[in-house]
Amino acid sequence: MELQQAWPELQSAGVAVFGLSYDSVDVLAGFAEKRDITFPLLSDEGSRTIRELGLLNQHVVEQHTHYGVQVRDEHYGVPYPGTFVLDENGIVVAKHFEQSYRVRPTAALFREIALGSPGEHPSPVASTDAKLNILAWTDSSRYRPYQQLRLHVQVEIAPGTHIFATPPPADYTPLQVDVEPVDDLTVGALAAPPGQPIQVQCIDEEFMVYTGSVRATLPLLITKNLGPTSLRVRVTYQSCTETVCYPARTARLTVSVEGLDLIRD
Amino acid sequence: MFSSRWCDHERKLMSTTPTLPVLDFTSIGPRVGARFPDVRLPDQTERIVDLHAERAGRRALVVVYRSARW
Repeated sequence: MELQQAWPELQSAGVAVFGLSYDSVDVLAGFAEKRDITFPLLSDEGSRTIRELGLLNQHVVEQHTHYGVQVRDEHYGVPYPGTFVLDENGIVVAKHFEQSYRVRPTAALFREIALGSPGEHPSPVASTDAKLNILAWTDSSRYRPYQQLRLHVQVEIAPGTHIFATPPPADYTPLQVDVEPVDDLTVGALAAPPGQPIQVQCIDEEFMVYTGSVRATLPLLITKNLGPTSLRVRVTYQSCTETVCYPARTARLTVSVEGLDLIRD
Repeated sequence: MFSSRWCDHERKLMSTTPTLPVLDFTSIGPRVGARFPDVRLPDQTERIVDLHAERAGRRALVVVYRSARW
């Protein structure tokens, strides 16, 4: 459904799309008709291709046990779910897999994987102080349970100023992003670029800092439709100029998202 | 405001224990940099589809998923 939503844009960008699962042709025909799917859904009944590709899920028992789900016969033969991006020559240029089979990509993620840009997203909310401008937005203003929703935080740093990346020097605070806890919200690890090294006086060591503009992404997983939801985002940072460092600050921003029900048969 | 003190520091390591088996997807399945293997399978219309031929020189997304049914 998410893929079908992203499909027209992918198609006009000249990207071919294929689905692959162990479902029979009949099951796929019914599914394609019901969901109006127009790209090929390949039927690998018996999971032979899945096995040959090395994608047969060998961890069915552990993964389902983790979620307290009873393992059923139909769980065997499933692949690890994920997406491959192929270039014009059929070479794999990227692959995208999650550690949890429950986390599903959104249309925005498919667009980004395939096209390198996420397309339109909701307008950011902003927080500004003397040295920094912070913008925050999610891929989409709406989510369905178990979809991977990503929070993007962009920090724009005034010239002549830097903020610390990880790992910071002792007693200094690196860039951190978190979201105030909400029931049924799981926050993943922050993905941020490594920063640039700066040479430090007194010791022969470099520390990593950000200058200019830096964007970090925080994966969010909401496992229930919570309706209109306010995500209270905290962005903590510590800024320094050449000569002086300021105390660590936490900027607070509220990003609003809206839950939708899972599509179920 | 305070002056920067750079001369002593300590590094902290944080580790988290995963509860799901942690899988290295770089080595699971077709690898980045390799040609995606040849795949020839029927699609939902019963037509036999050869993935690379069907791609016809375009970029492609191959989405591998657990099931359409459940």
